[in-house]
Amino acid sequence: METLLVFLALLGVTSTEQLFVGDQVLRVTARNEEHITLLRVLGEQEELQVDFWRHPNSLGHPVDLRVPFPSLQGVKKFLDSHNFSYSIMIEDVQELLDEEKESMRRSRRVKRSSRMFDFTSYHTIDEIYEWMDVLVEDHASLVSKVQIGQSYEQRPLLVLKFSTGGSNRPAIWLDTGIHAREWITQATGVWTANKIAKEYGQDPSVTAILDSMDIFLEIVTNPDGFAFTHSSNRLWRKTRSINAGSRCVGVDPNRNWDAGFGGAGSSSNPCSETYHGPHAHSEKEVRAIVDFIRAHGNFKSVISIHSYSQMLLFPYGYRRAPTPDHQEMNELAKKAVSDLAAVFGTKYTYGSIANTICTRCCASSPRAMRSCRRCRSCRTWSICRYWVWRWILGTTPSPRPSLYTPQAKQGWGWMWDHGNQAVKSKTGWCWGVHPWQDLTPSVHFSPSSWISGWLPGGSDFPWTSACPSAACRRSKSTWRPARSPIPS
Amino acid sequence: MPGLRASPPAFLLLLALAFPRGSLAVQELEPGSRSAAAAARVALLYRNFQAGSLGGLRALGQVRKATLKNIPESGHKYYLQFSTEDYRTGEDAGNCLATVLFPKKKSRPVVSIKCSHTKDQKEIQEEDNRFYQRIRHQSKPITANNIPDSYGNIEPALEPVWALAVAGSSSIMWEKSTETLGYFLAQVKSVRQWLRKDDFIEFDYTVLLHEIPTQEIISCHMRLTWLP
Repeated sequence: METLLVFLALLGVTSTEQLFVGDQVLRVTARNEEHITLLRVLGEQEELQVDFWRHPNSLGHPVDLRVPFPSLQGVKKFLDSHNFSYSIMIEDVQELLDEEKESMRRSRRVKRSSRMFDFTSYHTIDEIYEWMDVLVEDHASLVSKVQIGQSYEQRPLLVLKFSTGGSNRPAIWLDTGIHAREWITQATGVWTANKIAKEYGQDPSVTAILDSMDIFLEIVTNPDGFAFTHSSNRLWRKTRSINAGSRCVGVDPNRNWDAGFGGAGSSSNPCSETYHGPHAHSEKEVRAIVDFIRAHGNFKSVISIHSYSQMLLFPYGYRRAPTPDHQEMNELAKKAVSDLAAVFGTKYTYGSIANTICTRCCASSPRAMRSCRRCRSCRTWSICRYWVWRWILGTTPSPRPSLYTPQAKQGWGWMWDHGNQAVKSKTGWCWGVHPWQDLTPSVHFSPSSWISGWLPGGSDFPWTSACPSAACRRSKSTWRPARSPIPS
Repeated sequence: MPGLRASPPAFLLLLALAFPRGSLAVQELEPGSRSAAAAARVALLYRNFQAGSLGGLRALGQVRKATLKNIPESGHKYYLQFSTEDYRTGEDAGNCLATVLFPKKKSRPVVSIKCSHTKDQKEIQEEDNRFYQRIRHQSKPITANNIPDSYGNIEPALEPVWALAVAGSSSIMWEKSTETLGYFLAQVKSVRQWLRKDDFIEFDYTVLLHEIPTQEIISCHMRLTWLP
């Protein structure tokens, strides 16, 4: 007897899911004010449990109500007796729910083919990693998967390599998801990977790039953080490494690079969202990328993708995420990849890349700039932009960089376009270029999202020659953040 | 006469001396500049709160013109001209002229703002009434969590509650904003309605604000009452 009671109790507990068997949804048209009032009264009858999907607010607008099965007869009688006209929108709510559940189950089963993967919704880390395997399977001659290390919590750090052959070709690095909560970026990484794989052989610029260069794309750059946003805190940003002596967890991976480490815009407080960590490259996730890029030795560009303040990117109304922002992001990513081809394919000569872009240090001569390898990185977009143009287009520097010359705009066209576009963009996407010394994306202390790109010098990683110390010291002392507000 | 003719370099030198760089009080800003956009957003936060309307909520479109004036002993004052969009639909909602003073002493920004509108005021009022009715005609006090959810979705039934959070939290964000610290509403963590006998509707909110550039998520408790 007791076992039966326990069993029944358990049953009671487990079946707490509400069922809607036989419930119907009726669409009623109210023809006058009295009708509206009657419907409201109907809604207020607690025992009927009528549930308005569309409220009786005003004439001329249909009223939708879900009527539980036990109340159906009574409600229909009520409607008939008051001369309401109505139709049955849903014959059986539970049937519909069961169908939806089944289709979700089906879509999860069918996921094995990359073609069925839903690119317009957010996914978990397992789903993304699984999908990556499918992508590699489907495009085996182009895509391969490389593990570059392990995260703090020992999740694999996985990079997709897009290559049409050759040996250690010049390469482009793309990463998304360095900040866990910026879900739109991981989603964009997935979309971009798929796009590259699909467009090779179709789109001329993607094909041109891949025929001479390799692309490395790390979609989930911060897997521990990402998993945490799914399991516990949607707004988690950092890694999940334990900080000695503090109850606060995690380091901002994008303040952990060795460029201007510990500078403005980062915090030495482990509880801060921009905590830079105990030392540069302390985070395994960051270290893995640095080691990989250094070992490869032939990276020409590094691009890191972030999202702006609206991390949840919610549409105002009910819509399946990620919606328009995602579209825009994807368009930009697509253009990024194809425009990079234009820049690198046509205006760029491999191997003679001037070393990076110092800030104001080593400013005056190309030679000085070349030898100034350890100069601190740019902090302002405008200055960096100038140098990039100058270097790519080979124009001579003017004492006061003119940032808006037609040639400059042309030369780095898409960055410019998107930089400006982003500022105008209602989604808040912001793009910028921070060419940096060393292997570091920008330490950004601005809210804008950036394509932090930089063009590391030559193939002799790690750099050993120091800046002629006099030059750097001098320039360091004269460095001052630009006085006028820099356009973002 | 040669003596009267000032040589150009000397003249320029005189000019340079007359206006030493440091005291240039007024500065034209790039419309695309971050600080201009930030100031414009502060102005809109103030307006969204003051207007107390859900149908009239606006977001920043584009800054058309921006000037910065340093007022010694007072603070930095921005003069702005910008376009706005309907918060909900993204449609053009009209242009605004605003001044935003960030006081030297730590206190809330002083805003004056005047906007044109594309939407008929009557239409906005009707929208507000509709929002009001939707909330009033709930049989039970509304309680909810995570608006929007992790996936960015907001249930249609909770739209008015969200709109109210936007309007109400604007006041918090306006008061906290400085020239270097900006805020965005990230999420409504929880909301609970208090039923009242009079016509006002009352809610208790826990809202999460995203602070930039620090990237911190700040949790705020907000209690508001509303009558359109």
